[in-house]
Amino acid sequence: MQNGLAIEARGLFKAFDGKTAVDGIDIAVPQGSIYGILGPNGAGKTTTLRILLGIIDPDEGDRTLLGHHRPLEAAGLVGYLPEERGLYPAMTARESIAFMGALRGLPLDIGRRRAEGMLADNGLGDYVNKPIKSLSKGMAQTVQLFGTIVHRPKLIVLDEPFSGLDAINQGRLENLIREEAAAGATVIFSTHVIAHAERLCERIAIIAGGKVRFEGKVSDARDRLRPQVRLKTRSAAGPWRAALPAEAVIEDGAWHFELPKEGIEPLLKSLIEGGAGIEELSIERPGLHDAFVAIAGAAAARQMEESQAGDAA
Amino acid sequence: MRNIAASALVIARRDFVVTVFTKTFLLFLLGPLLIIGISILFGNLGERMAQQDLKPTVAVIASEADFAAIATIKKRVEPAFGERGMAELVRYEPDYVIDAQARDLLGARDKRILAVLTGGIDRPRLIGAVSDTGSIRGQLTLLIEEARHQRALAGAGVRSALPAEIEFVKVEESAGSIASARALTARSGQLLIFMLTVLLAGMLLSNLVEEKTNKVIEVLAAALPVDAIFLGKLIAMLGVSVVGIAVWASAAAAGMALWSPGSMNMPEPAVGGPLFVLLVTLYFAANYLILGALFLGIGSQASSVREVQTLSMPVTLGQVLVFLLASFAVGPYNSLLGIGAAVFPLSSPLAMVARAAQTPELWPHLLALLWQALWVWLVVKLSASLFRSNVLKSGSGGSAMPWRRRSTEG
Repeated sequence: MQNGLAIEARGLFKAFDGKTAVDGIDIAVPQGSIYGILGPNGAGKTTTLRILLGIIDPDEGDRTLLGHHRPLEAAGLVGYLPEERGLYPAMTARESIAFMGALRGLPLDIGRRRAEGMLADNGLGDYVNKPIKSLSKGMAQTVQLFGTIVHRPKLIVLDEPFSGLDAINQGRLENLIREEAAAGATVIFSTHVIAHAERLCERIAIIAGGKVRFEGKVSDARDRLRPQVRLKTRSAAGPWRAALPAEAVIEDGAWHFELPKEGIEPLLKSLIEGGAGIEELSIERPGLHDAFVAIAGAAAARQMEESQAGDAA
Repeated sequence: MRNIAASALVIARRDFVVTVFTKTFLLFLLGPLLIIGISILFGNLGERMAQQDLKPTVAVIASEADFAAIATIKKRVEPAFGERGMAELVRYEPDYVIDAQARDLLGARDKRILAVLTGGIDRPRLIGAVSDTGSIRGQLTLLIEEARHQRALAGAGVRSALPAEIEFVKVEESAGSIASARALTARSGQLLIFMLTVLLAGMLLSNLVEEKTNKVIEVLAAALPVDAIFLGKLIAMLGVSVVGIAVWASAAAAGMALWSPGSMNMPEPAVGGPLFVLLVTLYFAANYLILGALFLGIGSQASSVREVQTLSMPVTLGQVLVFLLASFAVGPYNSLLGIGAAVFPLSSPLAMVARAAQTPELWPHLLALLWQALWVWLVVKLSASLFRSNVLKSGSGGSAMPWRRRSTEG
């Protein structure tokens, strides 16, 4: 990894039965970072991850995983939690975790020891020898997550990891991702919940319609929009109105508009001199959601919200 | 990256353990043992019943003298007809209306008469549900002709010739007897491998359904090459089969030793007994692996257990066809068909077993085993490639030919 990138992909293209799923995707994931791939359902997130991992090959393009052009050559250094969770129902929790480690080259006895420790540390010590089919969905998901990291991978790939988890377990998972990154691992995850990406990621890729609409730092995505000004005045009309930008709109009794390029000071002066009677004034940096709407479009944002609502249901 | 073998062993170990260490596997082991046990217990009884059932009975409506003449000849010539012997002859005193008597006899459910002979030696007439060119008519013709001949000789005052005494010198073997015995060994070897493969390789059809149903396949495919997954599954099921065969063979050997200790001698195969056993083992493994890889590939394309069940019959029929092709290698093993069966990968193991029984040359076996190993590898690669392109949807446009993939793929 001479360029300090855990994952690098250029011009990935994939079509299924003539329908384009991934269309010229470029991604660069710095080593040791938490990286989010955002997009609505069907945007091409899972296909991108599967290509990056070598489960499927792209029709066109190149990808490098931990410095390997053939991703499976780095399989021992990678942990992967697929979107559709899969465990053998008759296998015990401990054996499931150890087996997943063994698939990545971890000796079974070490895997078993680590599995016992992980389960005990997370309050699942009583379930070590229980078959997966007897566990709740959340517990089974936790077991699979432990199986994903039992071999202490350098790169952790999680496809919609928060999907199906309750709020408490979502919080735990966020902590776990932070801990793994703090320990030096690179974490890349896909999600259709912007809040997770906003809380966790340093860098993101916004994908919609199989294309990368944005790739870079979260702050850069937010900086694409001007800060938003919210102004509430005592006076409803007056000469101060001329000082407001033309696109200013009233919502909930307050004016909303982008921060003018010349800053807030000239506007403030005009408002005071014009007798607006400032009651409230706030300048807010746009959130990732606003940036997402601006980058991917309102339709993609609506799809994301619908997916989220589906999860919650 | 770990090599394919190490990756395959992870899968093999899991599959072997979850198959063998279960209650279901005990049933799997007991199934054939029960059949063998029941066959041994009821074998003799069944054979006797079958003989009684199959021996045809012919009613002879004739005078005592005529019947005695026919019966005397029958007693003399019957040994020449081997174990099955001739039709059973039962005499009935002639009634007033012979045709009606014959009809009654043919219709009598308790007597189970196949045909009725009337008219004695002079005007024989056969009525019955038999073929006009069949053996019953032939046997009766022979008996009546000989009875007439003896009567003519007696009438002429000529003494019948004494039965011929042939001096018999038994030798242990001849080229003919060896060829015949080895052909039997060849067929037995083929049948054994065929039966075991039919019994055991079919399991591979449904071997990937579990992973596909439980979505585990995604975890496996992200960690290991698909070739290694397929190879691991094959090794596991071969191991399971070997455990089963070891149990069944031990039980069968113990049963035979207890039942009839002297009857375990088989005709010596051309390559010698121990080497033949080794070759049968190796060819079984090769046959299992080639067909197993094929079945695994076919089964992996199925999306449900129902589809797999539907595939079972054509797959079994395919095996029967391969067995028939391999049977050409028994006898004229150097004929075009014999060599063709040895070269065609699916019939090669069966054909080569037949060859081992019939000719002592060893080098063809080395060549054949390498050839079969190559085909195991090729079929695994092809099956894995089809799985990647059709199920995992990998490759350009779903191509099943990895050598035609674009160079950008890694």
